[in-house]
Amino acid sequence: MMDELELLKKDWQKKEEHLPKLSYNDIYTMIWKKSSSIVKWIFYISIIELAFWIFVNLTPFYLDEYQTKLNELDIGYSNVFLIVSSIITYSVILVFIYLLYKAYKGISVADNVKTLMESILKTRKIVKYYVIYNLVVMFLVTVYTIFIAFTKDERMTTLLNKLSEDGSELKIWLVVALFTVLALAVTLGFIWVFYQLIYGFLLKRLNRNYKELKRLEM
Amino acid sequence: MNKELEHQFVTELERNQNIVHKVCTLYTNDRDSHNDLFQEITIQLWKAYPKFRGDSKFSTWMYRVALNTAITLYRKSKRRVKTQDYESVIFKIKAEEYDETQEQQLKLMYKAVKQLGDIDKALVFLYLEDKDYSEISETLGISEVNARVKMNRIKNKLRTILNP
Repeated sequence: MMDELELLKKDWQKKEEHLPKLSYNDIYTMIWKKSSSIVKWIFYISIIELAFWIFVNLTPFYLDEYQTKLNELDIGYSNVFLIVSSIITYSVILVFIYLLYKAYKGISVADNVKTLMESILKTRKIVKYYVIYNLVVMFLVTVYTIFIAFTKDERMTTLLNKLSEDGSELKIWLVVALFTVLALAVTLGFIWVFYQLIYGFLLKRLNRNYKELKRLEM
Repeated sequence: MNKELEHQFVTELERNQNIVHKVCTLYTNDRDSHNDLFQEITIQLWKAYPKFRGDSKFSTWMYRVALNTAITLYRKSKRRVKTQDYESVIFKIKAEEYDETQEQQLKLMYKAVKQLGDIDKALVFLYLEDKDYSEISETLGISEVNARVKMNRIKNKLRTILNP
């Protein structure tokens, strides 16, 4: 086998004369063409994700309905709540934009094969953490909203009082709980499948090759 | 990017284009994909060129960028029609140069190499390019020992492909 591979090496080096030859002008035209590398794809997708979640995060602050509702509910600390939550929301977004920018800057095609893969996976991970953060916030906000609705909203409290007189309060709680869990599961499941599809498709080959390189170190 | 840099880059690439063609030959199966990958590698090389400081040889730097593009960055386009088997064009073996058994053997070897995974292919490629293990390990980002171990495994793998 050793000899066979040596034979192949000799033959391989002789093959150079059969390779295509591009002219100076061919190559010159090529350098102005657009790249379609996966880094570019991941970049566009992460920008869309960031924009989407920023939109989801910030919209309530500018909805009059949300503001009146907050005042109506008379939580007492609504102003403080609003200021604190905006500060947190904006800073988290800024931190993620900064991290993402830094990660992209860190991707260098002149690194070795393994390091390049790692820096791409790292970038991808930052977007993943941002999405997880948003899903957790989404979950907490949903739970909190339901809690507020049941304890502070007049219509809900009167309804509940009426129902407890009927003795079916427990049933209502069960239905609400079930509905909440289902709605959350569907939403989270949908987002998860979406992610699996996009990144699974884009990074399947990279993950496979990266695992192969990692396996070598064991 | 100024004109001088463009000229410098295109001249260097024109002179060293064989490296890119060989990577394309190993990682694609038809002429369209070959050209497509060549273009992507050229774009990546050009984008990275301003940061190329000449610490290493232009060709060494090219090996990295070309392999990285072929293995990690390049996305195969689905709409491409499969044309004729490209290796038969590139690796046309001239009958008069070899005796028949050797020719047959080489054909089988090339076929076997093309069946390898992306990482294995990169190792074989650098080996065929007569790179030593320290350069192979630096290009891939693995230790020299692991590169040797891996190469031995690939040799065994090729042996089983050749003698099933």
